[in-house]
Amino acid sequence: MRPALLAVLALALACRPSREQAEFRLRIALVGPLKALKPGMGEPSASDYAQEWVFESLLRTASDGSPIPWLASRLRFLTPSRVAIQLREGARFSDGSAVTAEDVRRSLAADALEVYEHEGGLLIESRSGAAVEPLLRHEAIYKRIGDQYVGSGPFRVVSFSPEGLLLRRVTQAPAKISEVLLLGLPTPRDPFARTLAGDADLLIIDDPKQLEFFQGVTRLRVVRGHGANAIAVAMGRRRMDRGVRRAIAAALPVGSISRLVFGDECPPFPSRADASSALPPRPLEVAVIRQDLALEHMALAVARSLGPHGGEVQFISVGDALRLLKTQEFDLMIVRPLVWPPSALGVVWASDSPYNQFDYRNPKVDAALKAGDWARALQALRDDPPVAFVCTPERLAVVDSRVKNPQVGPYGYLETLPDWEIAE
Amino acid sequence: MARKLLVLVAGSGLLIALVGLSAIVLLRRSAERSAQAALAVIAEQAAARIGAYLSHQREMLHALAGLVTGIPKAEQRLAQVALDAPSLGRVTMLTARTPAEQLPQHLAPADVVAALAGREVASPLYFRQDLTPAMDVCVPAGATPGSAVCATLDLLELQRQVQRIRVGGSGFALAFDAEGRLLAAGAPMLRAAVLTGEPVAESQLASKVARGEPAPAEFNSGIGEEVLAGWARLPDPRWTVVVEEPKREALAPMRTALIGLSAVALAALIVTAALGAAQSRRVLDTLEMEERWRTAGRIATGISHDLGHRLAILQSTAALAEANDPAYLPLIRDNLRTEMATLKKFVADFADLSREVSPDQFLPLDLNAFAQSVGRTIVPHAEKAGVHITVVPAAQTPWVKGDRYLLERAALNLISNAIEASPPGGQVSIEVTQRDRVATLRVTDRGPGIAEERLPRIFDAFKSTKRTGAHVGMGLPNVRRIVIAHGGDTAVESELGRGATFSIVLPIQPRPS
Repeated sequence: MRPALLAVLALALACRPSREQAEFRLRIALVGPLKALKPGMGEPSASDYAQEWVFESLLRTASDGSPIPWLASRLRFLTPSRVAIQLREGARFSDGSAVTAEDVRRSLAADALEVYEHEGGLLIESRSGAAVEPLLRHEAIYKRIGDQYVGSGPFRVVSFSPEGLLLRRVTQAPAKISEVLLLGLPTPRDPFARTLAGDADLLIIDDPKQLEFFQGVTRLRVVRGHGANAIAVAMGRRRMDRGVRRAIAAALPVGSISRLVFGDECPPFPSRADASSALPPRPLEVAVIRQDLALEHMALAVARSLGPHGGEVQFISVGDALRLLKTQEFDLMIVRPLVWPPSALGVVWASDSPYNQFDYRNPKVDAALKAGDWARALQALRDDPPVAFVCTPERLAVVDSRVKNPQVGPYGYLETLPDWEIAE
Repeated sequence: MARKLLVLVAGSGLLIALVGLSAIVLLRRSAERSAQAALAVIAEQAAARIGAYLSHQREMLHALAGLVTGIPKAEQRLAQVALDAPSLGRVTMLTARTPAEQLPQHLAPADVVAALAGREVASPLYFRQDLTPAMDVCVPAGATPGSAVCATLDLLELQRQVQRIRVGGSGFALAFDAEGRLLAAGAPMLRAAVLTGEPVAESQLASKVARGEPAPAEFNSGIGEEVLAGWARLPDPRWTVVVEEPKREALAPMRTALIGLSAVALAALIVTAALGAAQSRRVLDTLEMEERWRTAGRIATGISHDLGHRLAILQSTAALAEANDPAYLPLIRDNLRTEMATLKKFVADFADLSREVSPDQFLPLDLNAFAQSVGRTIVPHAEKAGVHITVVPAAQTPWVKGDRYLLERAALNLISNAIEASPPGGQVSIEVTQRDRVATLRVTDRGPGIAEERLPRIFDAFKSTKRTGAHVGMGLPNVRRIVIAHGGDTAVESELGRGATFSIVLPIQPRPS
């Protein structure tokens, strides 16, 4: 009897589906065309979502906004602009080669960071004296082989075309996503249609109203997360001095504006009523890029909330908006600056940051950022405000219900995807 | 009798079952009609809500157009309306000077011209860049000629209304435009077609309904199963709304109820049949017992009457014998002979009654030969009574199967009765005929005949037509018993004063090889 039982058990075990059979490919529907994956800030494309799965930076961001080691296993800030790190033991690129100091040096060169070998580890220093932490979170460490870029992340690129980017996990893990396929689709409605039709498993939602399409779709679940970009009102520094800008920031009823335009979908920033100057006598024009009806409504709401000081709403193109931000020759403009994590202040507002689109220069802010004191930098920013923050919209996505722990954020939109688990 | 009763009960049950089945079919059709009517009502309500919503938006736009006409900075004021009435989307002023890029994007050029000429115009439903369903509508700007107020109506609310309609567990609503393009879908699996514009199974039906043609209330849906449906049509815009529910689900409560009802009815039927059969058997047993006692009573009455009569004659004869008068000897001898013959026949009748009929012992019998044989047997008795016997065989030889002895006893009984009923010099005929798969042996006399009211019960036991006291009335019942056991029947015809004809009817058998 016992041998027979053992034989049946052995047969049952032999018939169990293998891990190979349980591989899970996640298909993400995006608006294309896709571009070849390249670390850093190249021309933006939907392929950028895959950056964090293929390339690692030295630090990453915890859900509370604090930096945590990633490719760097240990770090010690000597000053805000100097940090000593140890690379993660055994860290390797997806081609099998080890990550070296030279790879780190080359990857960080674009940010004017010097890298030295130091006490068995690496010493990283900013040539300009800027705080290095935001840059270390942001910059991917890579290796170039011919025209290909190789990263040390959990996924590697298998194939690429403008319509599809296929990634495969370097080391397969049970009950995790094995492959990710980014689909570059022609029009904004195609990702929705393909996801609804069951041809895609993940879709990023820009507008909460779009969730209506997924009402009652049990195959998909809605995932919400804190947004990293705020909706804000930029104030032209060439036309208004510091006191007027502070008065405008104090006069804007951000709570009622965000509720009027977004309902409960955009938590407002706390209001700071510390104006000492009067609003200008002339009506202030409000510029907005004409592509999003919600932002148009925001511009109208801002103009109305200023009462007699609110002027006409002007609809402008993206190119005009970038030009005006550089010259600061405008009254008010609806913008979406990065606000999270706190160290993002260093990326957006530091005088010498390559990502300072507002051409904002404030020595007090720079000093606080160099000291790594984000609270002081924020206070300095409020004293000489380039923008008035209104609210931060949530991040939204719909994901296949078989994914057990999907998450958007905390920093990159889908950075936690490699850790997602798939229900058996 | 018990079998007949059982058949009767079973037949009644079958009838009830048939009635039940008919009721189930009727109930099913009724339930389908009710479900379809309910779905149609929901569709009408949804269409009415959509119509009211659009009408309300247009009224708001008309009111705005009236308010802003002629006032300074009308464009800016209209733009501000979007904050207070977000459902109007982007509100703009349309004039002949409006740049091309600021014209409502989804209005045809002819519609723009018509709007500037003072007509209300609307675009088909479309999806904005943010995928919100929208419709461009322009209304005349008050009395100002050559200008109109246009809005990009936000129809998300309509999409939401249609998508949120739920009927039962998985019933849903769909909305179509006049061409059958899906505008909103409550069924998630059809929703992709809202964005792609691809037709679904209902598209063709929807465009028919939009044209005013009737649509089926039952069809294979785009969700891949048979559904019941209710349709409604909006006059302006010419959209249609259909509310569908999978048939399996819509009729599930009715099906459950019917199954329950059928089970209860079947159980009741079985119990009733069982109780009916048991009760019938009990009643039959009681009746049989009572009938036995009645039969025993009738036999006892007949025997006591008949034997009493015989006993009285024998007592009288004994008294004559005790007188020792030789002159009485012939009378005494005749009496004793007569009584002995009577008692002998009496015993023979009872002996016949006791003989069981066994069909497995039946043998083929030529009825013509049988009649001639019986005729020859009875001749001495007939001659003694001064009666002439004639035998008329059938043209063909009719073959039957039977117990020859018992059939002979039955035939002789009828012939003896006929002889006894005939006056001296009379004639008794034995005739054999064959017709329609039956053979008949008729015994006819020219005696006094039998009263009409006695004929129906002539073959009943102890109902002898002779009141001489020499019979207990067992002869004819025995004849009938024997003939019935042979699968045949008996009959009698008579008219008072013109004699009587008794018939034995037997089924024809194939000629033995």
